[in-house]
Amino acid sequence: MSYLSILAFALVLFAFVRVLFFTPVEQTMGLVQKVFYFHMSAAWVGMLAFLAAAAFGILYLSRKDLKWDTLTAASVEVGLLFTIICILSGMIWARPIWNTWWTWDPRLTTVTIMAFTYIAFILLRRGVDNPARRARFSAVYAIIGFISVPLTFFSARLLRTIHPVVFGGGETEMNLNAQMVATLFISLAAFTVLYIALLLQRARLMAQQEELNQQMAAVDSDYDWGE
Amino acid sequence: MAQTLNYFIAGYAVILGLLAAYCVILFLQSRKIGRALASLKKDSVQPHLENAN
Repeated sequence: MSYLSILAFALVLFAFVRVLFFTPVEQTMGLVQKVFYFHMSAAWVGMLAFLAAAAFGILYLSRKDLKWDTLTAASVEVGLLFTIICILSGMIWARPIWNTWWTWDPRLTTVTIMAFTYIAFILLRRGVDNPARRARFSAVYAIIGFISVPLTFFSARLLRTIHPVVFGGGETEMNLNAQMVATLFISLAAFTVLYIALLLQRARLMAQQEELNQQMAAVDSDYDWGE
Repeated sequence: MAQTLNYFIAGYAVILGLLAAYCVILFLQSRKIGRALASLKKDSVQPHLENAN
């Protein structure tokens, strides 16, 4: 386990303890409001991961180094994990607050489109065997797929929505006191470090898997099949 | 104040549970790939030793 992984684990633990014991309970929603700190952090990291994937895609197209392709795929996978965490935790928050698990609100709809865009990325990528073609496809897809990210981010600000906005939301803006804001920023930092740690671990594993595939292919071609 | 303790527990169970599950998957995959690479390395060294004998 790397030092970064240990740091990420410690930061998430610290953020969780702070959410539990050092952040006041919101008066109207009660304890479920505390889900928001990790919910928003997961949403932020999901979008950051897709932005990074698009940046890695641009780097691959300009430098043709498969290292950037590995990072693109790893970033999409980790980003999708955080997006699914965001959607599920949001549904659990919505049940007592909106009295429903799900509604086709603009923010919920756009985040679902974003998630399916990247699920399709993972499925389609598996269908391409040639590494160079797969990398080119992934890079272009990650860049075009990124359109879904600003669409999701601005949906709660530009369209009529019941989804709360934390900063700059006007009427729908959440009222957070100083302790709540501090906890939110600690959670955001913890999840960002966790994203980097998971991204590097996943990219290392993907590179090792590729090396294993190449070695196995070499062994297969060297083997005398008795023909 | 609304009584929402159960939803709070469910929310964090989902968040931390999914993160833990992903870490376990990465760990198991890392072990599997490590073993496969070590086994391939052993297989490629073995014929050389047999030839030397």
